[in-house]
Amino acid sequence: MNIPDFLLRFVLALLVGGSAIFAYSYWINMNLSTNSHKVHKLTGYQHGKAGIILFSSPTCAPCKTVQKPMIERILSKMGNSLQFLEIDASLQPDLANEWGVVSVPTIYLVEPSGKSRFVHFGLVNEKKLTEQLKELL
Amino acid sequence: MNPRFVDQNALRTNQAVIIAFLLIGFIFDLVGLVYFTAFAMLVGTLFSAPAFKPIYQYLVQPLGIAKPEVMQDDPNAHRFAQFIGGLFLLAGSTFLYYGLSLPGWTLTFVVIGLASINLLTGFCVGCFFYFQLGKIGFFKTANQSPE
Repeated sequence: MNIPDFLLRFVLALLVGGSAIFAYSYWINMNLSTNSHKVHKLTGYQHGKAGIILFSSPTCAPCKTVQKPMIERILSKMGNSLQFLEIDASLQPDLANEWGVVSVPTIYLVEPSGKSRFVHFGLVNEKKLTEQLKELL
Repeated sequence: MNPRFVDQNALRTNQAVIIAFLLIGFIFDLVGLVYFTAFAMLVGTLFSAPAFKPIYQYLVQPLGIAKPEVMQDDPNAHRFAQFIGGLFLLAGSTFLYYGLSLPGWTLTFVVIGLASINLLTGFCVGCFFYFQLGKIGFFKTANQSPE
C-alpha cells in the first residue's frame, strides 16, 4: 500500500517539530539544572524563601514598564512569602553569562530550597507567573 | 526618545499564521504558499507592519479571538526579525523553485522553528540579534530596548 505523500510529510513535520520541542525543553532543563542553587551566591538572597530573580538592564523598556510593575503587583498580593532580586545584566555581565541569560528580561523562579524551577526568556504574563509561583510555595 | 508601543497579539497572530502557512505548504507540497509567505514578510517589513496584520485586523480582532495587548517595545526589532525571516524564506523559496527540496525545506523549517519559539516562549531570536548588532553600533536605536 502506498502511503500518501502528504501523510509522510505530515509525519516528518511532526518529527521535526517534536525534535525541536525536545531540544528546547532539554536546553531549558540544562539551564535550570546548571543554575540550581546558584542563587545562594547572590547578594541579598534570603535562604529558605521562594524567589523571583529578574535580569534586566536600564535600557530595557519592557523590563521597566511591563515586567517589573507586574512582579511588584504579584509581590503585593503574595506578601512576605516571596523575595525579589533584580540584577542589572549590563552592570554584571559575567553573572548574567554565568546564568545563561541571552536577553532581558529573563526571569528565574526559585524554590525555597534555592533550586531554580522555572525560567522565562522574554516577557511573561501575570497569570502564568502567578500560577508558577503558587507551585513554589 | 519617545516610548514606542507594539501590539503583542498582532505579533503572535503573525507568527501563528506564518507557522500555519509554512506547515500547510510543506505537508501538501504547496511551494507557492512558501513564496507567498516570503513575499508577505518582506512587503510587511517594507511597510513596517506584521506581514499578516490584515488577518489580525479584519478576522482575529472582530471575531474576538484576541484583543490588543499593547506594550512598550521596539517595533524596529520585530521588523528586523521579520526581515531576516523573510530573507531565509526567500532563499528557501529559491532553492525550492530550482527543485532543491532539502535546503529549501530546511530553511523553511528554520523559520517555522524561530517563529514557534517566539510564539510559545516570547523569546524573539531576530530581536536578540538586532539588539546585539545595536550594541556594536549597527543600529542607532537598538540600544533602547532589551540587551
